[in-house]
Amino acid sequence: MLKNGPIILIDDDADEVEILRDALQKLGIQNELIWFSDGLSAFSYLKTTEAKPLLIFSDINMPGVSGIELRRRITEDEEAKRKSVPFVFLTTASGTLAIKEAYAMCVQGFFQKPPLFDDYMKLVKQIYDYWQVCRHPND
Amino acid sequence: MQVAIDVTEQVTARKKIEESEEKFRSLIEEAPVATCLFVGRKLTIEVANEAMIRVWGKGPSVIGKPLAEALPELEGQHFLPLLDDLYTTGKSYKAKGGRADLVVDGKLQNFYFDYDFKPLRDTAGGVYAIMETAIDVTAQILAKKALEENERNLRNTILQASFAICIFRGPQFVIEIANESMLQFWGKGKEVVGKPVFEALPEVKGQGYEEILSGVLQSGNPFSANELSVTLPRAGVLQTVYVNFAYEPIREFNGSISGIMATTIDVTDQVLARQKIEEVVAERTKELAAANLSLERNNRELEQFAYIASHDLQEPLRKVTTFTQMLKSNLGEVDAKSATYFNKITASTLRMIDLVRDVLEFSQLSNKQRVFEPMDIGALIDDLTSDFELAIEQKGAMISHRDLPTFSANALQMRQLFGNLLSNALKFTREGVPPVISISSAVLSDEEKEVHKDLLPDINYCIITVEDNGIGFSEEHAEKIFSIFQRLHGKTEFAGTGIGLALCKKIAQNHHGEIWATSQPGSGTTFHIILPCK
Repeated sequence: MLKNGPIILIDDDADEVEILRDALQKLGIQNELIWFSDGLSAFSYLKTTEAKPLLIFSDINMPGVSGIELRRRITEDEEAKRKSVPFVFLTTASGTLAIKEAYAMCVQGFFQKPPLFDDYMKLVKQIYDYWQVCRHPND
Repeated sequence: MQVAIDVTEQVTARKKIEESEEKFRSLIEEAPVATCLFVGRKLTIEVANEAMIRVWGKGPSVIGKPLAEALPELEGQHFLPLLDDLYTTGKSYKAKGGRADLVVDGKLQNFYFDYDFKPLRDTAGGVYAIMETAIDVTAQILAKKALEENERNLRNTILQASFAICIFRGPQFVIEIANESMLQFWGKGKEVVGKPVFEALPEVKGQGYEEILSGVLQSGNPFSANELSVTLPRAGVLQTVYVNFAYEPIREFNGSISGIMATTIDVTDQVLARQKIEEVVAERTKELAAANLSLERNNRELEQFAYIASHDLQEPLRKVTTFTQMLKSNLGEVDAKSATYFNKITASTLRMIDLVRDVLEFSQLSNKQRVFEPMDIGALIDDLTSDFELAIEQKGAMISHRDLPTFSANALQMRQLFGNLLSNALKFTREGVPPVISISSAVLSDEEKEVHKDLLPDINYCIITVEDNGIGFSEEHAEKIFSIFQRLHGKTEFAGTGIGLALCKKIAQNHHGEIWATSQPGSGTTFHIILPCK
């Protein structure tokens, strides 16, 4: 079922996956965490997977395919798009331009990574809880 | 006894002479030209027709008088000796346009005559009289003299003119007159005068001037042009010079065009100077454009730098705070001291994040200043009031405003400016005293304007005051507080990076306005902001 689907993290920084893993653990969230360090591999996974991921957290600034570019490719690809996996940006940068660009790609959220770990955990919980409740075509 | 002598022959002869004389007399009197007869060496005027009497201007009384007596003004002129001479030689004398000064109407005047003195011989062959015919050509002579005078004047004017003038005559454009300036202009000597121009100046052939000159000669329309180029020899070398020139047709009395007067001004120096200026201007413009490009590139680099600072600097800072907390929780129970150390690390790093963010905001201020739109300041304050709702509620604050204007400004910057002021007013409050913040505005009078030297003269300004009842500050710090990162309180008393007011000042400056503060410690602060209201 979707609620137990894997949580995808796309971020080129290995520290981030450790932070998220720690946060999920402390929050008692047991969904599998799948990490992609670049947009391309994430994209091929999304196209081909049979699994029904719950949520995608993506960074914006990555070498190669940026987060924005990745989102654009997903929306333009029939297979990937059909899966309708909720896609939120979780990033350090939050300039107005980036937010505008992101929403132009129809993202389901745009969040700035809080510096304090406690705040970070709260944010992850908020997003997770939201998508636990929210109805979804893949239910 | 009566003696009769047959005098028939004598009488007949005498009658014949009388008849002849009569005929002669009437011939003279009816002659269309002035005619008269001087008889004897004394030159007695025996016959003079009306025309001649008119010429002499003395009336018919002159008849019968000797010439010298009738026309005393002739003394000193050449007529009397001449006539006397003719008496002797018997030769005739003709003159055209000869001058005679005669007293006519009481005035001595100059006349000119074509006259003819013809000695008459008697039967013995001796000269007994001189017949004069004269035609008054005074008018023609004077006209001709006037014409000659004019021509002389024209010639002199041309020759003495400081700019080049010449006259071409005829379809070959023979150089009739050319003044020194023109000769110099052509780079030739006086030898060209009298030659057709294209023969004297072969270098000028084929530059289009044949057609222009012919056109003027045929159409009678003058031609002028400015800054035309012509190639001429100067010191043996062909050079291109620039001239303003005019060709004027010269008309004869019958309207036909016989020649062309050409005036030329050498403007080579001006044209070359102007070309040089244009070159320099073009170069300067290029330099300016290059400098602009360089500046724009600098700006872009700065923007990139600012972005990198925002992102790449904040990233590791966040890691520090995050991992510090994770470390703390990993360690489980820690002693009080260690806990303090962890908190200090976290606090410092958070502060650094704030500083980096503020520096970024400050540096980006100049980039976004281009977009100005009408701003309702009253509406902005209401908006900010709802943003600060939490703090307002916590402190029991009251924010009011009146008479706030609408004017053209940068929306984001106005938001930052007033946001910072309100945030400060809500922060620097007195213990137990609920903050009361009032904002009002007035038009800046001319006298007040004079006090502030940096304001633009032609713009209307308004002055907005933000007054609070907070902790205030000592007047000696009034300027310091607007310096970047300058704080009057330690970070344990009040949070903040010290950039807020520096930001406000920069924003005011961006809008060609001003900001300053007045205060008393313990009784509140008033911020005064002058902004253009249009």
